[in-house]
Amino acid sequence: MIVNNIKVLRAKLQITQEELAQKVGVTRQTILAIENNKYLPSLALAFEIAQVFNIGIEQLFYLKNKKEF
Amino acid sequence: MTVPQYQKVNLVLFSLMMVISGIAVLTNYLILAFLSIGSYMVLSSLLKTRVDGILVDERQKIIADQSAQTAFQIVVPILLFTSLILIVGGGRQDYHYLKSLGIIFSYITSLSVFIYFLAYQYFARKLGGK
Repeated sequence: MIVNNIKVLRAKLQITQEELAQKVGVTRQTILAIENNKYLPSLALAFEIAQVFNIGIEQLFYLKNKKEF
Repeated sequence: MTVPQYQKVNLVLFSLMMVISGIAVLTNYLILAFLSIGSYMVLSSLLKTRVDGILVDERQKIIADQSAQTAFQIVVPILLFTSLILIVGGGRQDYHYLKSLGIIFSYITSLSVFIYFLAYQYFARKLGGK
């Protein structure tokens, strides 16, 4: 399962979901869905989000074993 | 115009269109009903161009895709079975009109499947699957 740490990074940068959504050109609901691992973004969107946090895509999204949940 | 403003105006336009269409159908003035639906579609698409912000993103497109797929998977079998029942059941002389209705339904079903097939081929080609 692919998970992400957008919530943590967003808190570090002190930006809201709305601000992040505006920066990457999606709705706030999409950011919320990605943060809650309900929606897996396209590769293009994943790269754009990684660019906002100035990190690599593999630091933002990573594989996690289902048993760990 | 912001997205919430657009949604409010669109809701007002939609309500107006529904009321006009309803009155037009009740008074048997079908041209007015078609005109109101057409006007709503034109006005709504014009309004969309004036919206500052994101109305539809990739997640919403996926939701729309899956909704359309689900609707297709439900409607086509229902139409198919209804048309079969009507054609078989309408074989008798007393229910001849049912057979005609069944044939119309079967044409609609065939058309839906054909359009789906064409759309599938088109998108498979467009997205490099073939």
